[in-house]
Amino acid sequence: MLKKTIKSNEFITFSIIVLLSLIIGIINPAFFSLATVFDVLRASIVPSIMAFGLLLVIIAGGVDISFVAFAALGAYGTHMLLLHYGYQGGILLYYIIACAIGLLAGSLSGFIITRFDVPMFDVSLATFTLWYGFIRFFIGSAKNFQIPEGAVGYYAKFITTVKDPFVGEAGLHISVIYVLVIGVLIHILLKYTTLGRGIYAIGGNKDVAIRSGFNVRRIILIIYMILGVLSAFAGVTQSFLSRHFEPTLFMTQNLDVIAAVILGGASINGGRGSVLGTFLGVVLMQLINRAMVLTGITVEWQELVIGLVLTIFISLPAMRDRINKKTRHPVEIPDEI
Amino acid sequence: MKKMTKFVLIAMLLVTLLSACGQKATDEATINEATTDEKEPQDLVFASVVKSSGDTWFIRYETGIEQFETDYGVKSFMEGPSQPDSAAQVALIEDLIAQNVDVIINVPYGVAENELAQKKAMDAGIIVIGHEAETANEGTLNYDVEAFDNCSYGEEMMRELAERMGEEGKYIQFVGSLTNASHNQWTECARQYQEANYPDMEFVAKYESKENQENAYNIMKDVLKTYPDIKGVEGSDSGDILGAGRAIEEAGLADQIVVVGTGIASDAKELLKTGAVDLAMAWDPGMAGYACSVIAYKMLQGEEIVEGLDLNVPGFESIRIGTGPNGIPVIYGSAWIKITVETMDQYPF
Repeated sequence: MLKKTIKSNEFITFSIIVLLSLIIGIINPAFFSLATVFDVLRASIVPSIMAFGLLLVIIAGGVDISFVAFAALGAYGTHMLLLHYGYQGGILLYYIIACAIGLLAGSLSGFIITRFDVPMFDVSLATFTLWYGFIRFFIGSAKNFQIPEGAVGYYAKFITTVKDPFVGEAGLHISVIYVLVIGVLIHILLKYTTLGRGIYAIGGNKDVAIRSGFNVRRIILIIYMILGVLSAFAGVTQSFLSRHFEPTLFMTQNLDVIAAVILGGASINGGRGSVLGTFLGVVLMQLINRAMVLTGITVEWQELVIGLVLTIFISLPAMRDRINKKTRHPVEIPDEI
Repeated sequence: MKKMTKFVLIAMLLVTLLSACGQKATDEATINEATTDEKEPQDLVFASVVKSSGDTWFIRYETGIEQFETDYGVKSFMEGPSQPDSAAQVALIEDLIAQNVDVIINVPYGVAENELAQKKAMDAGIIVIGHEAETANEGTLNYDVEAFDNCSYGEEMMRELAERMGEEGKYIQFVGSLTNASHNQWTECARQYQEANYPDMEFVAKYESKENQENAYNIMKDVLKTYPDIKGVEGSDSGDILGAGRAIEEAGLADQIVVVGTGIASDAKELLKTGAVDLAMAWDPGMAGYACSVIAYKMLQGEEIVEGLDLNVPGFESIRIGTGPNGIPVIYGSAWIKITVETMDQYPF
């Protein structure tokens, strides 16, 4: 049991997080504080929710870049619609409408993928541009800072806060609960339902999955519905946290989320990945980005350093697999199934 | 056969070259004709073409050229595509050439994409003034008019930051990206000015927000941990002061840290009210449009455009003339505006 844990992807990612934290903390002791934990969690909320949706796609052997556009469409579209009608209520209606929009956008992608048998990545290349273009042409091109009265102050709804005389107040935002709830739900879906087994099976070998009796088309359609809903949910959450709505929300952040899922041990070839690993991957990604400021690496070097660190970390699970293959069975059945 | 092709090609080349020379000669003739053939002010038509007509920024621009129409008794109007689009802008310019307007003021979305149309208008004897088009190629604009030159703007920003910081303490700078020439010029000049004039201030670091508010927010949070004695923040991208301001406000440090940077009132309003952002600096597109119009008017009147000329527009009392990176003459004012919580209602854009 212990041996299995140590060899798991989650454990590797976790170890890297600990190692990186130690390095940052030695250079800058201010890093070791509750405020840091809260800040990193706060920055991980939104990417985690999107990453959970994307995880399903990646386990099923696909890659998607359009989920950020679902998020922008859901959040910005809902906001401009409600603004038009002078809505001044709370945040709940935003989530309902945005998730419905996300569901529709995701379903459309899922439909194209399954109906015409197009790879997920190819479809996402098209829908990425399609939805951002749609927003600009039909909805609007300017940022909007008018938050409905019922949702003003949402950004500062904390479960608990810590005070520091120097760095001010830091809080644990309530939306970490969403991450927990969604994470648990996706975990149950993957581990304990036929649908979940089907997703792993498709990623492992699509033909075998079909022969084993899985309805591959239906499963992919459902994956895309979930991706659409979760992305839109993340879009609304982000917009309220940053107190404004923008038409190009997340436009340049899709690769960071994909990187986080891969860092979390999911295989880009499909068939492998977990919710816990994904969450750890998002946290690790945040740490790598934040390490730059915290350790005082100058801005000219940042991109290169981040790139190097990512290259090393991404290679680690693959290196472990090679070692495993050499020392143990020639073919290993993935632990997750 | 090969020889024949070569001959034809050379002949074609010669013809093109000759006709180009010929055209130049006639161009000069038409320009002279245009200036000698003076029209009454009420017959003059000033057309502005902007990136997108629905944008609050250009709605403000329109108020400037409407004011010019009233003040100078000419006809002045604005056109622009509903969404920023260079191809649509070019089509509008072509239409205006056909209508034989006297002046076109162009605020190009893509500077290079608009050059050909601008040149065509100039060839037709129309005076063409650019705004936010400093990088245009020589011969594609009569003048480009800028609210300020980047270095003076950066220095002014530093003066404001220093004054609010009591001329002492640590400060950081944000740029939208390391490849954004304007942002880096603002911050470099600000820093040099600080080193020369405010010895008790200390530059700590420059950060890249990637033109994303959320990045500025997260960076600011880490800056608070890494440099707890930070006293000042200078932003370049309009989202920088918003992201940094949010982080500072949420940490409850709005009174202790000064935030100064480029930004507009409609975005920064809430943070200016809470004091998280202390000053947003920008330029008034209305005044810029007015100044462009005055330059064109003076050219039509045959007045010489010289250094130190007073355009009678706030911020353009004493213009400076330089050359853009690709050779066009550029006119600079010192027309920055300062948006604080007291003045923000005067700038509805």
